[in-house]
Amino acid sequence: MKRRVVVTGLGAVSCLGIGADPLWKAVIESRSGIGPIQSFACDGFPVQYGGEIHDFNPRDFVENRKALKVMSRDIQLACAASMLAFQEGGIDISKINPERSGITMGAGLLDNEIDEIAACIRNSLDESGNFQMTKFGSEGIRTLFPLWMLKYLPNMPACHISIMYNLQGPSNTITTACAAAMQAIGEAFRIIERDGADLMVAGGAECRMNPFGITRYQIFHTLANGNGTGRAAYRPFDRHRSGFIVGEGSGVIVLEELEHALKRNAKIYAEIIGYGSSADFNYLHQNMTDSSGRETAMEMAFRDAGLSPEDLDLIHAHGSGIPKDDLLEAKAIHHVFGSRASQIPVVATKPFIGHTGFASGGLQMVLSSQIIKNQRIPATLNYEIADPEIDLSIVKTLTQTSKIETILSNAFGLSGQNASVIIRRWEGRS
Amino acid sequence: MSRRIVVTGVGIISPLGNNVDINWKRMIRGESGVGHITLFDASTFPTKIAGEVRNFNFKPWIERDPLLSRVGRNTQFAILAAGEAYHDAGLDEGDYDPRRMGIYFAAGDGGADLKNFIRSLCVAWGNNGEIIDKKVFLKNGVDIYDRFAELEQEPCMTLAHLARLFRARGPVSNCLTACAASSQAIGEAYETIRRGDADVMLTGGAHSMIHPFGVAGFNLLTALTTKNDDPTKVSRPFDFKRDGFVLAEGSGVLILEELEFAKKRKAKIYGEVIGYGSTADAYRLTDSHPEGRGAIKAMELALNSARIKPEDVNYINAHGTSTVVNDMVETIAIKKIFREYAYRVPISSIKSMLGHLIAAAGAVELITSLLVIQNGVIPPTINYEEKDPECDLDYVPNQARENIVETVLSNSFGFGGQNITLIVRKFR
Repeated sequence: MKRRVVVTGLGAVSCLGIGADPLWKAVIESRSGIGPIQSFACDGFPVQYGGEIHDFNPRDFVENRKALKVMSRDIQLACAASMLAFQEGGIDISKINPERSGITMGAGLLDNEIDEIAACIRNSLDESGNFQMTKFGSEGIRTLFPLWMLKYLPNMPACHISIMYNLQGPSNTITTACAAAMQAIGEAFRIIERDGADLMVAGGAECRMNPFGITRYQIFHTLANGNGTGRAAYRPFDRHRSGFIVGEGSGVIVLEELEHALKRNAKIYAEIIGYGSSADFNYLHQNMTDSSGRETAMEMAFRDAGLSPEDLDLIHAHGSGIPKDDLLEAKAIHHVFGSRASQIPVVATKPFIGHTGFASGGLQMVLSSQIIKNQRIPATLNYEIADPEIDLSIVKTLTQTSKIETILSNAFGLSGQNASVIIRRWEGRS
Repeated sequence: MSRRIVVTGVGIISPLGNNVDINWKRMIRGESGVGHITLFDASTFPTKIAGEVRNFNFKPWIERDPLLSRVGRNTQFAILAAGEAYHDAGLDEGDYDPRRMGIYFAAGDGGADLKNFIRSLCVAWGNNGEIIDKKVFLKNGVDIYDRFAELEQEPCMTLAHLARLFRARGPVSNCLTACAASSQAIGEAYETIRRGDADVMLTGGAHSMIHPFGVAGFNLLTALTTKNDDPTKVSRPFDFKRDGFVLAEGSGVLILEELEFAKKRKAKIYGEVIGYGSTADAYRLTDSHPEGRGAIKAMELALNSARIKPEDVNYINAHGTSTVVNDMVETIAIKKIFREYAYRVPISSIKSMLGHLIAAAGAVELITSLLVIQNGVIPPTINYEEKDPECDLDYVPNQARENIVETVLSNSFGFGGQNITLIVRKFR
């Protein structure tokens, strides 16, 4: 018999607050958390708005001070979101079987703290101010602290969390850019389904809200222009969209095998019923014209779910706001949904919190779970003027409904990785 | 009925050589690929030695495809090894539906664009206690950095290029779980075919951390040996005088196929993947669990999934990094699972010859395991001179050994506590 997998805990840290509840509260108030960047001076930079978290104190989430010292902000955010997910899901760590509990996290290259690495480089310069490798070897290295490397290894979010919560089952770290967290959730679903675990923590974390991070996003030509319009510059699917605004955060969900969840009377948000992943050839510096990978991922998810696209109630789009990216997603939706494509509601939620990269699929699934539980569809903020090339029913205002039985959530990496997950409303069916 | 998964193609680029054949030949002769670092001036670094890949030729790929001109060293290795594996498997575009071919890879990072990185900092020294003036950095950074060089550092780029070049449009993923990564990728690729989500998977790993920040980072952690005088002698897994691992680089790639699919196209079969176990130590960031808790469980899960007894294993390809703790804990874990048979089963670590390929290590080790089955010869653990009382098993010291081998268990344990065990068997 097929093992069924349900979502039983939500953890979120974003510019809209600490926890899934403050995030949802802001979402139903149609309030964005994006504002002028405050954590470093960026006047003169083409983009000065971001989804910054101002009230985050890592000590609230990591007791061990030594551990905290070896955590980049990405790791701190991941630990916080995981703790919140466990708390929210009412999971008592002492009562779960550690060998049957695991983790998959989305991550990637973690940015160095600029002053920390700069101090090391400065100590490696000769008298004329030129970098000397021999001086780096003899003096520069010693500027860094002994466990420096651990602070930035991509697998460390998963490692810290597995240690903090004694998760002795599978531990994996997926590094597929903006698709990473969605893939991590899809793979966690597969692990429970094949009896590799009963409980999995899955999601992702990213902080590129720093000089290195926003510089890299800017040279990739992915950021929205138009500082004059402030947070409203982030407008997925809108005719005048021009890219994204960077956010930071972590989104983590707890996945459980159904019987395991029922036995402990868990609150169930939704059942995960389908996952698909695929490759295409649209990486950043090529012309983006190929929508076939996005189509394949969605089609696989539907096949996996045993569901026809005709029965789907809502698409929670990747909706990055990058002009061609949104166009390709629309094209793929038309391919998969045929004549229904222009009727089915589509929502993009990144304008609430900014594009959080490795974390985005995790935060998106936190929101998908809340949408299906509360039967309310958020607004696609700042969507005003339809793009004649995009014939979709973009949800413009918060909508109360009772009819959302299934949601498809998409996440696409800029380098050609695509992931789609389908969830179904939980109504106590067994 | 459950789907069986076989290996039909293999490719290696490593410090021992740039194809599978030369790697195998040199391993059987017990040769070392470790030498002094030439990729940068490491003369003042605590560690000055590593296992570098030498004399490889990536130019033909760039000539064919200019998009490859900026890819990282890890991606170059991945493409070269994947090219060998794809060719070895006799795969051709028409052989498969691209949507039924996937990739599960373990690519590391592409390495920093050091020159521009340093320049971007040197134009922005701050005042008033701030090391970098962020405003100045941001004003200049956009012009200093090269978008292609920055992009190609992301681990997902290796995956993107592989998918493009080898026409895979099915399920793709890239995991980066330190030293366990490529074994984990192979395990997950195996599960992907087993579930029916693909018929063919390209899998393995590619990594190069022989760059200033990589060597610096491992040196700060005191994980590397700092004996620099006799490079070929210092990687000495299980030997009493071991004192750290030797950093190496390269790639190993395997083509996995569903058995019926492979049979239909009359593919040659290296062996069958029959077991996969994956656990976490959940203990400490830098140390393995002292009793090998996670390692024991990973081996147990792999044996259970393969439905074999420990006595059915004829050879163990050890993780064997040459660090004091790893080799001791791995020995403890093997004894726990194999009991008295632990003293009779041959165990060897090819890291003694290659050094540690980090994310790519497990893939090269699994390919070697398949070659052991095919050739009936076990590669040695070289530099094994003095017995450690804590490590008292048969590590196939110094000399390759002829031995009929049907089933191999291969371990990979990652920094941070990820443990992976894979089991392969002669195809029958």
